Amino acid sequence: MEKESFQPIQRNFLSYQRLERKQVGFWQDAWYRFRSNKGALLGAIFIICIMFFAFFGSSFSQYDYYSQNLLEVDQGDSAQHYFGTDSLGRDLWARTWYGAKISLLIAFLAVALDVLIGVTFGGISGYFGGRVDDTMQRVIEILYSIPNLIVIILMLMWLEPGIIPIAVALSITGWVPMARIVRAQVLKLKSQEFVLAARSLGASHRRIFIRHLLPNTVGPIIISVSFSIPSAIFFEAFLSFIGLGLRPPQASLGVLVNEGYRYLQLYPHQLLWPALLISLIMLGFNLMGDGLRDALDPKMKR
Amino acid sequence: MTPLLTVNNLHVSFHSYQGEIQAVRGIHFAVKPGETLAIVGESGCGKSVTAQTIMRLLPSTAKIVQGEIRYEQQDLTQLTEVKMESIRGSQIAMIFQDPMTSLNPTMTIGQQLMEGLRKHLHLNKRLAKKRAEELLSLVGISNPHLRLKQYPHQLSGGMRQRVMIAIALAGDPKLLIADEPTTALDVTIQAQIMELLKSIQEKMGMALLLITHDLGIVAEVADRVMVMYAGKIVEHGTVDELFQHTKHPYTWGLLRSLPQLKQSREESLVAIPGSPPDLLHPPKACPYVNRCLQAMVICDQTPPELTACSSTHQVACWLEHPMASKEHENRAGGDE
Amino acid sequence: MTFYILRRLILMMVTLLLIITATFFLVHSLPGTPLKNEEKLPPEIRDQILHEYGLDQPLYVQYFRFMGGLFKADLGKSLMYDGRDISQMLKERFFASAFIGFQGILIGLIIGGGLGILSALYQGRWIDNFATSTSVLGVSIPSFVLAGLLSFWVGVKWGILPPALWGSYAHTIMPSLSLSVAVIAQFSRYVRTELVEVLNQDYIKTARAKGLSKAAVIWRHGLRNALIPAVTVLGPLTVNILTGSLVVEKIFGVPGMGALFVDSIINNDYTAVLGTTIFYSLLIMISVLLIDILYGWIDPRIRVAGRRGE
Repeated sequence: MEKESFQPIQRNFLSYQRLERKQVGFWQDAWYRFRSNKGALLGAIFIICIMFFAFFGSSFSQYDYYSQNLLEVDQGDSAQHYFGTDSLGRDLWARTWYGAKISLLIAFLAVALDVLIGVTFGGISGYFGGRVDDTMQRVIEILYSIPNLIVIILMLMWLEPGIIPIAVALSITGWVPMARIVRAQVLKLKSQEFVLAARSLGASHRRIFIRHLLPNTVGPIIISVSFSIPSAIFFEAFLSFIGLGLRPPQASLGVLVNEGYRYLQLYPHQLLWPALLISLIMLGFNLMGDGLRDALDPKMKR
Repeated sequence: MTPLLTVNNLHVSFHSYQGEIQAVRGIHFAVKPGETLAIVGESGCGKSVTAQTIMRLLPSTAKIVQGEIRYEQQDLTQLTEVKMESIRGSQIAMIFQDPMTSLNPTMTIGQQLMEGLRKHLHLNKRLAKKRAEELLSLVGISNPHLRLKQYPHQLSGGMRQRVMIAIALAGDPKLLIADEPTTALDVTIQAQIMELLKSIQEKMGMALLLITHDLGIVAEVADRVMVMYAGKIVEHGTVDELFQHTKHPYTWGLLRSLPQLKQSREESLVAIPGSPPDLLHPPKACPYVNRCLQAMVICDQTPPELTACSSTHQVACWLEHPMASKEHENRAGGDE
Repeated sequence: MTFYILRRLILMMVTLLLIITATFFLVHSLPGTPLKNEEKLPPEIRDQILHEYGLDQPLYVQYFRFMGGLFKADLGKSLMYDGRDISQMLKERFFASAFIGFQGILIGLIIGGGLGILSALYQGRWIDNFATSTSVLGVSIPSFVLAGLLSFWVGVKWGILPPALWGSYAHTIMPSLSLSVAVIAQFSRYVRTELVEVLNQDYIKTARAKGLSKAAVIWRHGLRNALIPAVTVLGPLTVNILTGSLVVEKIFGVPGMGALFVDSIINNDYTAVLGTTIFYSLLIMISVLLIDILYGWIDPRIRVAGRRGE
């Protein structure tokens, strides 16, 4: 062995801390976990495909969703009518994708309202705490104990059925879970050091909430949204099914399923396509939601 | 004296999606009957993994890559799960760090204590109950009859740790592994628990493998100490040797970071700069080189072997090599 | 605990009063008249009918009359079914709904619980993948779709079970199965998550360190702790079953409360809507409360200390 080997190493201590592992941020890490989840990817692909056809599907066919043709009623699938026609001779391909579009629109609208109300309510309640929080929590408690099914049905008997009324009815109770999640997250975060630091530097409430608290509640909000969408789609279809949905010639998937039931014994395909599509949409969102939860929930992070 | 437990060339790895994390990288040691061996090191150095490996309680993502753990003629790494069950609790027992989470919240103290008694000592219900009360008295819990019917949440942290000790003693083990038994407790309670452990050890004549990062506890209760760093043993010796004739710069750093009564106000505590290496990509040379104040060129090239400096004292450091300069030798004494 | 139950009961009363009042005024402010074929009726007969139902009184009088009736379990008379007593109708139909509902939830809990336990114990193996896929599918396929498919294929095409109507035990199987799928899906998922979490707890390590066999650890320490919190999902599951029963009863032609509710909505039978809504709200809230009390009773952390855990 050489003598030089036993000379002290010359170096600057601080610069010597090598980072051998690439440091991964939270979102990068989450993205990695989401990508490596086959189910979640499958769900995302379903949703993208379905959304594509829902918004552009009508251009693949010469028919529209409302024109009746009494010469071509109750047909099976053909080169003209990919999914066949219904009892009024309307093209089911066009109707099904139109229905999917309406269902998705209602769900997106309802969930957007949920987020808007839920984040505001939950944020204020959690951030200010004290008596404000107490009062707001009582409101939530009462709303939470009212069966949402009842509220939605009553609201829709009262409102004229349409895209916006249905979305509004869905979000009347739909925002409550969102508010709870946001409140819990804000409560947890607001006592942490970075928020205290921001406050002691004189940041305004608004700034603290928007710059510091909101970004950290995004994860749970995304998870909640990804499960609220299929639930909204389900409720919309459910309402249409029990006769509280859109009025013809407008159609949503629930309306189509309901119409399909009438001729189930004779023409099962009229039920099949909308039923399959609604199941696929829900499956897609649920799979994606599972993936997002596993990717974003720090509790599962190991 | 033949050792009770011998660990030879043990390697343990965890699998994560980023790759294989080598938590324990080739360690050797032995525990003699009745003695207290302490394993010391920072969190993540592999000391808890070592303890769990001996008990074969590793999570499913971990596996023993190689090595043997010899306990009374048997290699624990090779035993079937059923054989291992008859060793756990009756031959080797273990207590854990956090008494708040280590007891089942929905079972009474009595139920949890009697499980081990009935399994290993084959006692009937009445005798098990009697023995359970005795054990609770032994660990210093008053009113044992009443306590047996209580649930963990009705007890304080210190009490719960006493219950944990009683559970560990149920099978009359020859080796007790205590994984950071006082870390989660109040300082005043810590001393009581350590005293209790020590007195019970003497009473029952069992060996104690103490996993800790607290050198103060080590100085008080251990016979021998093993310092682990980045999955390897860096220094190993009697308490006296380690505290008075510290060889490894890491051990020395640990000692320096302890507050001392004699310390003057001007002298501040010295923390070790930097952080331990990433065990996903363990360094090929000495793992401590990045943080070592005496690092030499060779330290960054070749890993140091564990070499004996006395019959009981071993150290893995190039400074012990005859060709290294001997300036550092004075430092341990010079500090006082 | 007593205080907790009392508090919940009061909250329930307040909520119920709110629902009843809101429903009452909502129903009465609905456009149009509750009478069918109103135009064709001569005015005297119309007035006579309105008088019979008490609909000629001012709204607040009707409200107090209705509230008074509630204390005698009188929900008013149906407009559709020629003045039949709604409480009486609900009473007659309750059994059918309760039977398929209970059967559905029982099937769901047994199969769902079993799947959840197996998939937690064999994480990443085929049974886990199977259970997880079943669960996602079960959550995703709406009950009205599934009920239709079952009725058509099992009932009509294959003729294994009666496709609809009521009469024998065989008639209850498919409605219960349709209801149970959502329960299987949600419960198996919940039990899996809960059991996986419990098995990672420190006290499981303590139990194993005692030398208990794997089976004993899972049975005594794992399942018990995993299933106690699983009781809390019974509330949402019951609500789920009640929701599902609306469409499932309709599809299979079960003479239950759900079908009555849907019919009264479709036919604008306002008094019946009001009555069934109140009954449904009461049912949902009582079951949720009972389940919460059950949870408090079986979890020693709450039972002994008298407070909620954590």
